Amino acid sequence: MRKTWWWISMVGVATTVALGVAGYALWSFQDEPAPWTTRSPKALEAFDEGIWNLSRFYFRDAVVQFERALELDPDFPMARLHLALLHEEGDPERDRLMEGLATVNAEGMTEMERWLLTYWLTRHGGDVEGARTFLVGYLEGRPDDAYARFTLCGDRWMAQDWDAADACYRKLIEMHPNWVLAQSRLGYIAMARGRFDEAEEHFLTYRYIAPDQAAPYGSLGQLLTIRGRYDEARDSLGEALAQKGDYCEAHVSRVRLSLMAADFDGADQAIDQLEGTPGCGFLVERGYVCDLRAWRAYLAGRTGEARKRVAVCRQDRSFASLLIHRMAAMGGDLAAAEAEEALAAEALASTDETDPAALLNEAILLHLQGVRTMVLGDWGKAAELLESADRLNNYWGLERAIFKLFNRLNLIYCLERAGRDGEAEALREQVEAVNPRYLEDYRLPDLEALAGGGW
Amino acid sequence: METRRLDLTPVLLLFGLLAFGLAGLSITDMFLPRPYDGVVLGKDRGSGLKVRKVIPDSGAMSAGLQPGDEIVGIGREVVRDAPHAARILNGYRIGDRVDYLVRRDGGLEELNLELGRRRIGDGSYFYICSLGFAFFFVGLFVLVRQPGLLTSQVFYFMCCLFLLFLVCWMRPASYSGIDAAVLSIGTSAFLLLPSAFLHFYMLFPRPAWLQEMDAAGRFRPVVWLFRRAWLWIYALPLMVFAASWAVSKLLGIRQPWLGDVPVTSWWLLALAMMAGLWALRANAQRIDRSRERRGVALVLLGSLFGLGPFVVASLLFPEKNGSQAFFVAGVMPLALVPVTFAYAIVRFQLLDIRVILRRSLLYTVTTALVTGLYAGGIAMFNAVFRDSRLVASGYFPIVLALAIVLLFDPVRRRVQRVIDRGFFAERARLQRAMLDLGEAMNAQADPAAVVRDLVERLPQILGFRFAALYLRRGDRLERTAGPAELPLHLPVLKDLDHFLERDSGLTRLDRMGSLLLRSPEVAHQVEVLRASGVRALADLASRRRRIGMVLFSGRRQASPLEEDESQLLQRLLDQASLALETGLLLEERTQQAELEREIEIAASIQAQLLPDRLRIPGGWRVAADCRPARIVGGDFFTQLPRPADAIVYGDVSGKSVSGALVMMAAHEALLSLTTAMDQVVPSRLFDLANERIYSLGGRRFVALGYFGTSEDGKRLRYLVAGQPPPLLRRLDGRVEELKLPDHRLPLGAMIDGRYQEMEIEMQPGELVLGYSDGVTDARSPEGDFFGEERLFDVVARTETQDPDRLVAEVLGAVDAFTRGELLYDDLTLVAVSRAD
Repeated sequence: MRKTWWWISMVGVATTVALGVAGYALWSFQDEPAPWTTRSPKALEAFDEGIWNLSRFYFRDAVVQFERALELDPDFPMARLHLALLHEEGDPERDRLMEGLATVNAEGMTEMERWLLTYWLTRHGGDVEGARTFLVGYLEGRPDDAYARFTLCGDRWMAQDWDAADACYRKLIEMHPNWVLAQSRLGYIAMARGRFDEAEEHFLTYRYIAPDQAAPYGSLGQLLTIRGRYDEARDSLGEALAQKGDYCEAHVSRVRLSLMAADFDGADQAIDQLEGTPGCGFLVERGYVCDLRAWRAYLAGRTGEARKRVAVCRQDRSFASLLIHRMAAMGGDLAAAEAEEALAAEALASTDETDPAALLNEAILLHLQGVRTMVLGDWGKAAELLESADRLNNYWGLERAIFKLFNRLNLIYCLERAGRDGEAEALREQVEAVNPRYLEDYRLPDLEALAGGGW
Repeated sequence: METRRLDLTPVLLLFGLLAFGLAGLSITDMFLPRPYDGVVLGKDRGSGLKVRKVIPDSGAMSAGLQPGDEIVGIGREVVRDAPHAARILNGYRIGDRVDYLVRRDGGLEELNLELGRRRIGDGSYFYICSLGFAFFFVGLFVLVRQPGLLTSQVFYFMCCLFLLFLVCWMRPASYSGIDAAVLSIGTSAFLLLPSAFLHFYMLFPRPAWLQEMDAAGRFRPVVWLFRRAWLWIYALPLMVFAASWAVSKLLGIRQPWLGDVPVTSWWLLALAMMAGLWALRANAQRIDRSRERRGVALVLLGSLFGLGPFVVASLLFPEKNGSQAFFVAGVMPLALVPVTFAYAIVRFQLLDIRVILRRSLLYTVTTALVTGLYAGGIAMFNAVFRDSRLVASGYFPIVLALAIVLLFDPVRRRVQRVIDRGFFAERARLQRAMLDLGEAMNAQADPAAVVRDLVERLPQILGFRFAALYLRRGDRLERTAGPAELPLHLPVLKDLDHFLERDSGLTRLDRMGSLLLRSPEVAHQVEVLRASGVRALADLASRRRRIGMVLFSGRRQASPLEEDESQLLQRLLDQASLALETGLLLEERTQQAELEREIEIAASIQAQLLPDRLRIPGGWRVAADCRPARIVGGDFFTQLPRPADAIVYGDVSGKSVSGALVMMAAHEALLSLTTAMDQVVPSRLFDLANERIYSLGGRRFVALGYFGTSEDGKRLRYLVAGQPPPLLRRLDGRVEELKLPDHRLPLGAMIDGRYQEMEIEMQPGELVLGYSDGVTDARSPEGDFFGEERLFDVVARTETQDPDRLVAEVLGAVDAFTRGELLYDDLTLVAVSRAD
């Protein structure tokens, strides 16, 4: 009798184990359902390709893929959404696409699609806070939803709430240390706050995880340029372009690098390459290339050429140009300089004060005013304005970092003129801590002229 | 010695088995062929994958990885922890090149290295493993020898924790999937170790200070607390660990961690050690015997100088943890702990165990040898078959391990022999003496010599004060040898017999608990024996029978017999049983032979009683034969002296000797009565003989038949008492039974005989056959009776007037029927015929 029970127990255990193994095998071999709803497999393929490009910051390629997905399935809501998000806010195309989403029936969509749609439609409707609250609420219920967390981090990022964004991305890489976009964003946040070593670590990690992508090399190139490690920066940007020849950000960074290093021939070559890159035509169209050439001429001391170039660059522009203003101010054309300041003031006024761009606009305005005041010889007032501009600015990205350093260069000059040598020296040390070569290499001809008695 | 018994032994053994398995698994895992970079990680898992050591000639070494580096990424993936790294590495093959991201001096660097074959154990780890297993085996033997003793149980538990701590916690950490689990187990063992130490020291060698307080009735709450404190002692380190973890996680207050545990746990270890050593000292102070005190002092010193350096080095020089200096100063002295414990236990008999040192040394040396063999084997195969696929095969280490396992026992035996010779000459002499005694017993033919060996030499060898031998005599045991104070006889008790039959070997009287409750007779007997100084007994029995019992007093030294001594004693008792049985059988055989000789004499005498020739005057012929079923029998025939023609044949109840004696008595009665009677009247003769046989008592019967002739010589006179009716063969071959009177009971059946004589007229040529029931009761090998029908048939078929021939024919038929089988009963035939 005991033996019989023993056998029954053994068979029971064996059966349970076998069923468990079989169940697990069935469960593990089951295909995971696609998170995206479309009736066209080809559209899904294109969409996945777009997401892949997006994850590498290849935005233009992503646009092409999302457009293709939408062509293949015009009712593919996520393709429409992601395409819309690749257009800047205020772009009519973005509005058109988002409006198309407002009438989409959410029935049959996956959970991820539903919250993405709800969040972005709410945000697009202007209720940024409401969208954020919705996302936070959603994450409270599903704290492990990495994509939702990434979206929330992006929300903090866009708001330039660096503390919150930093904490959010850190949490994300705790969960998914190989989430490269988080590594990239953390690098930029660290860079914006002047924590360059930390930024470098994130970019190196990013590069380590995704050595086949251009973005980490580009980001690292920007950072190394800011730090004055020009050779390394050049290599890194070269590697970015080796990975993706039409990576326009890297082309632009190469130009800026050459200008920072006072390598004007190199800058010429870089600008030529940028101009000759088919995918970067939009930069020519928007006048960026023209601006770069003007700056190159200006920094090389070819003021006349610079003046001519800025005159033709962006003739119908609605925003202030630092170079135009500077040359006007230095040339004594204060009215023209003030006109530029008016444009900057307009830009500031048109920006909502909660908009992160407001700070930059204000910094630009203060800088312009500071430069004009400097030309007038009111060193104390100029220093005050430039100090304010400095406080509002940060090192986020190469362009902005160059602006910050450029502003500080002027500030040092003013402080020295105002006899505040101690402060000037302290600031000089701060600049040298960021880029030991900057003050040596980045020589402004107008300041030298001013120092020499006149421009 | 603390005598409290807890039934924790099976649980502890299971725990030990698990610990042993885990330790083995951990070591085996280290030798499995996996792609490996050559990095030995630090133990502080909270601080990333810190490189503690780089294996020489490994991929990591070639790529420039250095101790202190932190591995951030492997194979283009940022790694979270060691198991994650292991999963990534397992995706590669030996020989693949892999990109690493390494943090060094605050910066990140990418390195590209080639994965080699995993080999992380080194000499120092083998030392640690040997130490761990030495601890384990010492603990195991203590527990096996004294399973009911709480001190043994705690000591064993402590040794298991040591095994896990040394093998798992000090394991060179790589990325192996089981690393984290093994390290966690090692950490748990580490956390519990101070508690086990403290608990053990509180009890070892006996909780004298506690007993003293208890006896004095002082500090009752303290005594109560300590009696139940062990649970708290074990819970405390876990609580401290949990609290440290909670404080660092919830409040963000991060305290320094050392070797994967908060530094508070280390301080707790130090405190527990100090408290434990204090308890040990307090116990030692209360021990009267200086010998024991010296033993405790040795344990104290062993703990102090064995554990102290490890704790001090870990706490004061955490940065040296894992270094060679730490190994030499902190880890190597740990060996003092098992060695001093074992030596103290053996030398000073603190736990009444003497085999421990022998075993621990033996297993330490064997483990070291086996480990060396294993390592050497791997190294040799690696060297010889460097480029062979054999080395990379997952089966290679398994096959090698199996070979080592096969080698283990022979190696152990050889080591055992050397150790026994070198360290335990006295024990070896004892064993030799017991073996000699066994051989002597085997050679003894004289039971008296065996008895002498059992009760004189054996107690001397084993240190018993006396021994006594009781042999079975019927339903009781008789003291054959031993002190006169012991009872001369003991009853044979079935319950005790059954108990001893199951519990072979030496049975201690104080280990018969349940039997004493079940059987008052056994309880009484045990009580009597105990009062006489008997402490143990052993059964003497062969396969065929139970021979007796040997009783033993207590031993001069307090220690019980060791396992091998018990086995030798058991073997000796078996040999004594055989020797005694052989002696007894020899004695019985001698007696049997004497008896047989006497029976032969009796048979010869009995045969002489039967007349060579029978005769009936007046033209009558007669023939007779008698065959006893045994050598001697109860049948007979004879010719009475008067009248001249009287022939009597008889059959007494019983066969063999008893039958023969009654037959002799009946024969003698008939002859003496015939002589005494003036005129012999057969019926009167039978009546008188009946009276005499009846007077013998004991329900002894004698069946008789009588043949005589009438005065005219033409008729046959006959009388039958208890015999079958004689058969008459007519001339025409018809066979009929002679008429018989109603009363024809055998002699001795009733006091009143009333026998009646009958007559029958016989024609010349006619035959009468008288026979005893041995004829019809003769049996074939199949068990069939010869029976009356066959007898009738034989008589009818025998066409003769010659009584000799008739007797011969009937005997021939019986022989043919029985086919050489022994007769069931004595057989007698008497045939009479009237001549022309």
